[in-house]
Amino acid sequence: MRAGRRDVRARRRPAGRVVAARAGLVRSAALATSAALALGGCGGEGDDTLPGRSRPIFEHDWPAPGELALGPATFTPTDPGQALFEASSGARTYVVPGTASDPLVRLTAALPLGRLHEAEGEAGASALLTRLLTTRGAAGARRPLSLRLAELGTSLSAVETLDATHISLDVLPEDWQEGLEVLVELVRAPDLHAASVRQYRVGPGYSMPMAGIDGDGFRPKVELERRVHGYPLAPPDPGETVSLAAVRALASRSLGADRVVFGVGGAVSRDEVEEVLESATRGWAPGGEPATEPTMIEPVASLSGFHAVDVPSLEGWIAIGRAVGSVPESDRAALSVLRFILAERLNIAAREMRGLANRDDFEIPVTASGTGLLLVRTGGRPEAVAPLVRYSLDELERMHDPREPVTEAEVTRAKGWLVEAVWRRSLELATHASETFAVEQVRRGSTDHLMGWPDAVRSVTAEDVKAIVQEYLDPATFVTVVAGPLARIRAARHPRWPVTLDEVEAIR
Amino acid sequence: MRTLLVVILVSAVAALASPTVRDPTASPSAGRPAPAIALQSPTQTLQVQEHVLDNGFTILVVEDHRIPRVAANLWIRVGSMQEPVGLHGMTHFLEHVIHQGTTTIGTSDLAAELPILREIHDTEQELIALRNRERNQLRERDVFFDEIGWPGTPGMRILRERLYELEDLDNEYRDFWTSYKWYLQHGGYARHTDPVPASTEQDYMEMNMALPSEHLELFFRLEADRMTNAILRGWEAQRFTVLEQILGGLSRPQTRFNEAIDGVTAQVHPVYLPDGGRLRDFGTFTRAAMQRVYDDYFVPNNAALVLVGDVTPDEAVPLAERYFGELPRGPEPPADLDVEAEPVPGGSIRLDWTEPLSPQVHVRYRIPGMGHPDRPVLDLVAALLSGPHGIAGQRLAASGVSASASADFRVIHTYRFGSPGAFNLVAQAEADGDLAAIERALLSAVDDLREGRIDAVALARAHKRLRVEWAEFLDNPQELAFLVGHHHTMNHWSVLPDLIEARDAATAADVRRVASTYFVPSNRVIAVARAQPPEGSGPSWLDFLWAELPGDGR
Repeated sequence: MRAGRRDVRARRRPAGRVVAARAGLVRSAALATSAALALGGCGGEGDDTLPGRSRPIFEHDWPAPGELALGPATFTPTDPGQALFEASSGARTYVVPGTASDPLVRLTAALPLGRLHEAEGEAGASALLTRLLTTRGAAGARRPLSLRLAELGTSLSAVETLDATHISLDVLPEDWQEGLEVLVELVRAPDLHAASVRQYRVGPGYSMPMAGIDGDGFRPKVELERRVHGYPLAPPDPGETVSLAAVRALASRSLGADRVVFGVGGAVSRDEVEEVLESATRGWAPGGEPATEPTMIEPVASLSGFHAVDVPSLEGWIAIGRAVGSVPESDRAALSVLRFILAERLNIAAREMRGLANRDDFEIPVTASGTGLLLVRTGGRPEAVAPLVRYSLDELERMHDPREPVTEAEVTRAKGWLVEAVWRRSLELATHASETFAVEQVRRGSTDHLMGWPDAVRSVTAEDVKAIVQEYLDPATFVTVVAGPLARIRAARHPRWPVTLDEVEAIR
Repeated sequence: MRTLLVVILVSAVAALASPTVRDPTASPSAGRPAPAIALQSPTQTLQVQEHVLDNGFTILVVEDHRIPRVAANLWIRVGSMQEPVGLHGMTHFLEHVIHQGTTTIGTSDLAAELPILREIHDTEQELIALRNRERNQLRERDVFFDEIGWPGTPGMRILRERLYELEDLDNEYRDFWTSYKWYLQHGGYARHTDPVPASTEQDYMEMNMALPSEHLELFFRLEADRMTNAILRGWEAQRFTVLEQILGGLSRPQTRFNEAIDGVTAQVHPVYLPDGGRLRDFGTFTRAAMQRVYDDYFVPNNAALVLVGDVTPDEAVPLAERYFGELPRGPEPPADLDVEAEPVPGGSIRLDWTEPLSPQVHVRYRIPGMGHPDRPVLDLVAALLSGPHGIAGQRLAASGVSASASADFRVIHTYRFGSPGAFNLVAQAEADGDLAAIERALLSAVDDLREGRIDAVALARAHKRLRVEWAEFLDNPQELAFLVGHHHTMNHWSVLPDLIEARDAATAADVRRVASTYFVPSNRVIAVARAQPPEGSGPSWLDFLWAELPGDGR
């Protein structure tokens, strides 16, 4: 069948179309000149096409993307102040009614939970409490949580970060009241099941086997966290137990009426939601005192180096990073722009130009204080591991070099993405906005940062980015961790980029 | 981007079933809009407006004015099922290289590039000829020729290295990632985080981007250009980027097990081949073969654009006319591998996995491909069996073992008529010692369905689960655009509302009939994995795979 196609293609070339395409050159002189000059030197298949192509180049007068008359982005988010409702118990809820045609309702409980909220002796309590909330439900409930969720046709999803956790469920509009009652009950009266707490052991902190570079369970990330700081940046050591008293103490502080923030978004009536919330939260006590402030990570200034962890795996995985303490509010937007630019450069260097990895990414902390980990994540087959470390570090160096420019195009691109994609996406749908507001309120104590974010990002200049690089991105302070089949990685030589792990290790 | 073939639970079953066989001659007249079909129920509304341009290009619009954004999704009818043996994975690879620019995008000087592109083409032709010559000589001498280490001769190696050098030269004139950069700058985001905002499966390739509605024209400009004037630059680098995606999947022991189950389900059918391709084929891909796929299939009469969001047909159609409407209609693309399913073999098949893995049992049944009227009922069956309170979960609980049950469909991305599918009932266990009891419990749950022991309350819960999943699609313009485009590419968009209605109306009697038809021993595969296989894991699977990887001379 394949061989026969050649004949079909040979007949396919429509002469008339080529003439028409040539006529089109008159319409777009600049483009036409470029294309005509280019194709004129092509030869071979004919001067209307490219090497190896069986059909003519389609010549057009379309404007270049930068010359398209695209309207200014227009988006007005819901006012979080208008959306906020506070019940007499002190429980706060962002209610974002959608339209009558909204197909579902999202219900969210945002909680001040995460390792940075754990007090002394509570290591591991946050993850355990989240697990109890999402599997056991409310104490004394007449029916198991799993059955109630099955009746609603839904399930709970939990997102845990260092300084905030949120639990969400999506329900049909006719079920929002039942869903909201389930959610309030489980955070108001959690079943701190003593036997479950006794049986609990802290896991390794990473996912096995390794595959892909995403998520908190990315093993070299966890290994890096353990080396540059340890707990609470890193998970507690594997096998540790958590006492019932620790879970109770954390629950007492985190699950009070004045600590939990709910989000309700979608096809709901605000009045009805307020009525249900008032009823469901009546008599709910405020959180225990003192309400602890999230811990700050204290980076070790002189730390740098290279660590390798032998793991049976098909591929090798890489984390290059450092811990950061508090990041001033004035630095946040520029740091986010830097994050975008460096991630783009890493991906082009590692993936597009060299084919060493599927992704080479850079991330910054999402915590309210900015504390956490600056992290390059990547990975590849054994022969690609050492070159990946080398070229990722080269990009860090290039970014850090004061003589190397950050272009206006890069900054413009970053701003567009941060505001018109990331920020806007989090607020466009009622379901998303209610969740975003609730998490923001728990994490930062207000939505001011969120609502001021577009202006902060738009004010960033290339010079701001260069300045922030000097503050946060000194490659000498970054630690490299490689996890994978070390014997294979050390023995491998990439035929085009023959860097060895030993060489990379010596540099570090 | 290569997506996994497996969607746990039933979250993607909506993407699979289509109860209606569409008359291909009943398509709307070119240049005129077709009437919209509305599906109305308390929470489910879908209105699709179709317009076909004179050159055969189809535009489907679903208006959703809740947010000022449009999810745009361009679909091409080509996928891994069109690939010949030895070139598996080529279409997914093509997806990557058509994102390396066009005649007007991603180049600083096309005229300067052309001599290099010409030499790349000529060098590859020389390499292909040399390889064929060497292989034929070896065959004549009846000598085994192992292509795994290809290029296996010094001459081939020199040519391959010349190709590397030429691409490095061409890189001097390139602006990498250009179209993606334009999208990001204008507030676009893709369905996934992979740097190529596209995916390829058994019989489709799709490009997607959700843009602020005022920036929608950018999608038309960039994708029409990509569809007609892509230049396959950066081919050697992308070969390894794609290889990394495959290795990333194979790094997961679960992926290896799942692909093995696919292999024994119906090995001869191309739908069960790994859509990402075979590792050894990465040594034999050529630009020339890939260019043929591009030239044959990337024509407007083989494509559809789905728009979901803040846009009307009055806004979308003129843009489509301006960009895609100018492209010449091509010959109808070959559909030579639109194969029929083979007859169901007799005898239950067992697969005992020897690689250590979390203990699990899969009970799989072959089912008809998409488009068959029984598929909506099978969606309901999956929801009925899944979860701790589903029929399988209840059977597991009654047997006293600790395990969770779910049901899914394998090879979910295909529902070309005639292609088979598979229904998979899975239980994840805590201990190897429970596996025998778990297998019995799963088979008992299947018997419950076959014999009509279907609790009305459980049936209601299953229906509710499917309604929530459908509502989640409706709430997410990007996922809805994917769903509509998926159905349209495989069949026709109108089968989607039909599917939703049919599965909503499915009854316990339907479940019993379907279970009795398909869930029979002769149509079954049982696969078991253990944390500690009783015979040991044997030779390292990783060692085997390393031997399969293309050799040093790449």
